[in-house]
Amino acid sequence: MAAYATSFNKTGADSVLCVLELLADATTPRRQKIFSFGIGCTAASNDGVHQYSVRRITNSGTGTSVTPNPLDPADAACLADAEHLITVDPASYGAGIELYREPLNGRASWQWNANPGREFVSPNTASAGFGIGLSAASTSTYSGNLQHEEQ
Amino acid sequence: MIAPARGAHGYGIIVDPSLSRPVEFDTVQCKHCGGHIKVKPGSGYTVYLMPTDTPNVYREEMGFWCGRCTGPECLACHRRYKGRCRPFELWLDQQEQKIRNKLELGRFFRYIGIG
Repeated sequence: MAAYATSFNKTGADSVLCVLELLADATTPRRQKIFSFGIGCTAASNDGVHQYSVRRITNSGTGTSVTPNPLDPADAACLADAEHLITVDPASYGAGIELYREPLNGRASWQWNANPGREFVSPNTASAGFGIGLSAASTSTYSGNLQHEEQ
Repeated sequence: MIAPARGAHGYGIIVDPSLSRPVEFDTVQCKHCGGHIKVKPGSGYTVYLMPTDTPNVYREEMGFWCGRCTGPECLACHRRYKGRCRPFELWLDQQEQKIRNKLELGRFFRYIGIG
């Protein structure tokens, strides 16, 4: 299984929930398995609460495509579609099944890793995948990284 | 540093300047939705740490265990399925089967000249 790394940002002032979306390709879907990610607020330090969450999504929002890079250069290019700099949330993010939530201080950053075989897994159906973001819309700026496997 | 939970399914680290040191934590995976739940160190998965609206403050909840999957179950799945077992792998297969059925149906309609 090939593994990929994706760096993502939210720099605009758009009030959105989702910071990164990772979706199976519409024509050649594969199971996506997230095994590591980290995220933090890059805005000027503040003590507000930022509730980061990982949710299942089934459609794409509006954003800028970002290419997941293979961790092993010998691997083929990633088939999944990733978007960051989201300006319009995926419609399915708001009510998407929440797989994890972490409320943190605005100054904090965090990293999470899954043990092998315990990743977040999405079905290999078109446009099924994950959204990483917040549980309440924010105009703040964020940055992070994601590693996933494609089966 | 806290002692890791035995056989934890995931782990994380929070770097918060308002705390004196980085906080490490362990998570376990729900057998029914594939999500992860933070667990109280030393509780052996029996106590979940649920997020609150205050950073670094967690509400302790009794953990649930699916005897059929022999694995932990998150609170949301326990409420959603009311104690019934619906393995995550089955859900994945069902989602993928739905698409395969649609493709098969499309092929069938094209074969009989309707699609």
